[in-house]
Amino acid sequence: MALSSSLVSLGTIVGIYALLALGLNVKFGYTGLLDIGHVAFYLVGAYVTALLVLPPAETQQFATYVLGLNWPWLPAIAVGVVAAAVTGLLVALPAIRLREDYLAIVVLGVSVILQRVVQSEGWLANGPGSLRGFSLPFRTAFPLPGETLVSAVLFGAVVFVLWSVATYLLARLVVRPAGTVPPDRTEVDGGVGTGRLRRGLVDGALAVSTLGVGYWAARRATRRSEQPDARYVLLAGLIAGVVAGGAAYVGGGMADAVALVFLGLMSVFTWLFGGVTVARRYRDLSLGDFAIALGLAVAFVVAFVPLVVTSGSGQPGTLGLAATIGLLVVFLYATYYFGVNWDRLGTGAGFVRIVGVGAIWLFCLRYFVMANVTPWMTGGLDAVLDNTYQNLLWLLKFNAAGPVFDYARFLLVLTVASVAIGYYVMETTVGSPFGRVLKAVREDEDVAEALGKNTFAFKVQSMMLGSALAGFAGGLTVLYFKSLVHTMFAPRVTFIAFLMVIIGGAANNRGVVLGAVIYWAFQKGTADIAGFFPPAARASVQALRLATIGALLIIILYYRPEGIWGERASTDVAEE
Amino acid sequence: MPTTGLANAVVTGVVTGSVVALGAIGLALVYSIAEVPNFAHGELLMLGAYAALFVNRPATVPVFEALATGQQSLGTAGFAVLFVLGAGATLASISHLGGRAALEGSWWPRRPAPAVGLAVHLLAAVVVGGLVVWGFPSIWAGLLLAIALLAALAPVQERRVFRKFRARGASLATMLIVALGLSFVLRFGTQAVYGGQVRDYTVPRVAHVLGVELGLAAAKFVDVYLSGAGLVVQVIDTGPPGNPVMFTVGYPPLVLAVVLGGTALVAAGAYWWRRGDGADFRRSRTVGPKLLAAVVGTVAFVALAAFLSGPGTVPEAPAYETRISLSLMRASVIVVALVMMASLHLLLKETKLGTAMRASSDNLDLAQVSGINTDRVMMVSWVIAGAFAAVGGVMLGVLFNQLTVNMGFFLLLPMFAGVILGGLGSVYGAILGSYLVGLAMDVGIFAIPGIGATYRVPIAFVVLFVVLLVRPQGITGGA
Repeated sequence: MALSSSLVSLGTIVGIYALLALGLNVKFGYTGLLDIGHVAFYLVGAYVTALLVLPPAETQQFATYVLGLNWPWLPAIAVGVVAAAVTGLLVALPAIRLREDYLAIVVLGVSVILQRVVQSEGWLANGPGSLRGFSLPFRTAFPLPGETLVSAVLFGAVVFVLWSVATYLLARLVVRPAGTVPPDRTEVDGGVGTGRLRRGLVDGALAVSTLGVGYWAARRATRRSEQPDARYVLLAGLIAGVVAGGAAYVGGGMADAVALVFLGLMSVFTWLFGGVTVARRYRDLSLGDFAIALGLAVAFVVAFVPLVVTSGSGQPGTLGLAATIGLLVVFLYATYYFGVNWDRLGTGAGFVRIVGVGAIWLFCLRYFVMANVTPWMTGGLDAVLDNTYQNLLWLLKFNAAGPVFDYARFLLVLTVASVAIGYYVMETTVGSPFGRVLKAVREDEDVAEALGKNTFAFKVQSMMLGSALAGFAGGLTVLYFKSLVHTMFAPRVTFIAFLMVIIGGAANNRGVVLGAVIYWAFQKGTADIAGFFPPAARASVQALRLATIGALLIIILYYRPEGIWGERASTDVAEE
Repeated sequence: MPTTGLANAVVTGVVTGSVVALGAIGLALVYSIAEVPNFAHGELLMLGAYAALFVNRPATVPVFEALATGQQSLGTAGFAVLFVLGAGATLASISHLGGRAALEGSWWPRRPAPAVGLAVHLLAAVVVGGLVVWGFPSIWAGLLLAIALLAALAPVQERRVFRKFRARGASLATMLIVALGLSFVLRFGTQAVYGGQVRDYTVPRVAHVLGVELGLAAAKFVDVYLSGAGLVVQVIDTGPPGNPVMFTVGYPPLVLAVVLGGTALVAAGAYWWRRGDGADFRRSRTVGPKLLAAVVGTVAFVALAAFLSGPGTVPEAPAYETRISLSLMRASVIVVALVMMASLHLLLKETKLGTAMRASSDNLDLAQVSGINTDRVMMVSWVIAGAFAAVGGVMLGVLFNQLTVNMGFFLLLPMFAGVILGGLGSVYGAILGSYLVGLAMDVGIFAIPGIGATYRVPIAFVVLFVVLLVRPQGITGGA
């Protein structure tokens, strides 16, 4: 089983939490409302969606709940979103006027009460038991591409989403409008000739991997300092989607080839795009910096060698355990020490950036090197090549019948589309006059009042918007987890959302998404580690992870309160 | 047979309120003097409860259990460790008050010779450590150890975390999030070390006092009957089999009137006497009119009720009957809380340090300007907060007979409710607010039909919410 599937599942949960954190970003990052009960709206969205989608309670054994109207998913999620927004309104109306810490306690209390209600009232949502039995949308049409019209349409839709996102990212970050010059000509690339050749090769590769359509539309769509032109983005997606859907429907027997062409190329695009952006972003780091980052990643991996080596029959030796823990402690302290004293000891580049590069190295190591250890030992070079091939084309699942697009990846694409929608909504909100008033309220509410803005109304609206996004995340949660328990909505979740917002940078939507990625990467990474420990100690390791998160939050708030990406300075000027 | 009713709910509420008050006092002190909304305060309670395990159940404490030779017995090395912990924690908490100078007595009202100060502090440390070892494995020794440990640990929060953020001018919101993060670190750090299983204390079920066997854990049913023949009170002991009746007393209506009237008279008299010289009735005294009236009234009530009681029989058809279920253990919670609160009251009113604390909580800058060492005051408030949290945690563990890592967070909302209800910045308000919250929790569960015990915290919160809407500055707050 290739590692790509776990990457897909990780991506989906990252997307859901990114939505949750985006909602919190509206309330906390942009408006300055300390909403530590954010999980309440997540809960409302999830449970309303679930209760609408489930079949009537009589059809299930051992489960009691209300509603159960067997609705289709899209309206149910929509109603969930509205319900969450309404809950936000109801909470905000009496509570928003309170001062900061009172508001915090009140919303925390609301979230605790809602969780208690769901837990205790057995008639509402099966009480402490879990709600399950959801019929997933379009399940029978998978795996794609299939032979029916429905699956062709779905395939087209998936390609539409992927191509739109790819075009948007290209337009935003990589491609420059025709005729403009890159910002700094100080790139030393051995003369204009080789630089242009390299750029041409990269651009060509990007064009091929998006079937030309994406690249062409990106060039049309990109604008100097604004959001890319949405029409071209969607047009690219539409063209690609129609072609893909048509190909899937028409070429019945060639399903493998169709899947390979579209999704395989898109997978290659993601790697190319990642590489290009990393190279661009870290272009000012020297080779030494990259080496240091690689050293960090390798040191981290090496710390686990004693544990792996001494775990004979699944039970790790105590000596190996102690050695690993000792090495980890040394590693963490050394990193902390270097980080704090980087000005004195360092090479001039920011420490956080080097850690970032180190994290990317670690991912490459894990995904390409360590994942091939077992295939190497069992199957030799062939197995390694096969595994790497499958891991590269991660958008496809390689089962016995060939490469297909399975349901888990469909959920991922669905989540990506939702995050894209949420992100778009957030960006337009923030750039609008409404967003500017929110920021003004955050900075100094009295001034905003004095200028004639009804700050109460704006705060309530921001609460509603943030809660709606959280409700949306809740609806997606039902799809992903396929069962709901009240323990999923503990206050801990709000805290995790805060962590994501603060790590990534409050009032920066990209930062929030980055925060979600970092958090789940950390969780996934340490979950792998926890697997090495004996079962008795595993719970302690889980607890230690959460304690580390708390410590991380405090450290980041102290040393870098603006987060990794901080707030984007907006240079909008109001027009007269 | 009467059933438990409103009176029982009120008594239970008072017990709950006592525990909440113990936590809320620390919270209010820290909130008003150090201006930190300490969301990690619940974890301090939890740590106190877990610290008492060292003495009470050493075999359940990881790492330390290696030194235990049985469920409640220790080897010599274990005793040595306990002694060091107790003595060391005492010295550490004193050193928080000003470092080495404090150990030499710099915080005393009249500065002694350094050697004298050091000697006294060392003696105190030895006494604490010795008491912990001597009282092993009683829960009271565990309480002492918990107090010492938490009094040493709580100021570390301030030193290592909050002070650094305050130096950077962090906003209230940032401090709140930092406190949340700290609560995570403490809670899950403890879970990582102790593991997630539920623990409990070993509390003796029976105590032998002066040759009399007292049932501690078993509830005593206090049945109260009101009928035409007067008031009859019967106390039943549920410990021994067969539920024997401990005693029955009766008060004919006239006697009842005398008891109640006498109490009222004495209390009112004490109140007016204390308040008599109206010229300086605004002067805050240690024992003010209301407090004196309450104490004297209670003493008078108990004395009159004891002396004027006659034999009684349970009436056949009483007009009103109710039952109050109370065990000595739960009653002791109330007593402990009252004792701690009385000591704090004495400290605040009678000592110079207490006056400094009251001044700092009013206006920190003014206090600093007038020469008060606000650093030391802040540290003292954290030390006291830690001590009270330890007591609260141990009492909580005794009451509910289970220790989990989430027990602190469970009590956090009621504590905040109590503090805010009473008005921020006032310790007495916090006490009053906590009792109101405790009463609301238990009476609310009783009064509202159909909701189970899991709704206690939500009820406390609803009460808080209503008060915040109506009077945001709390009961005693406001300019």
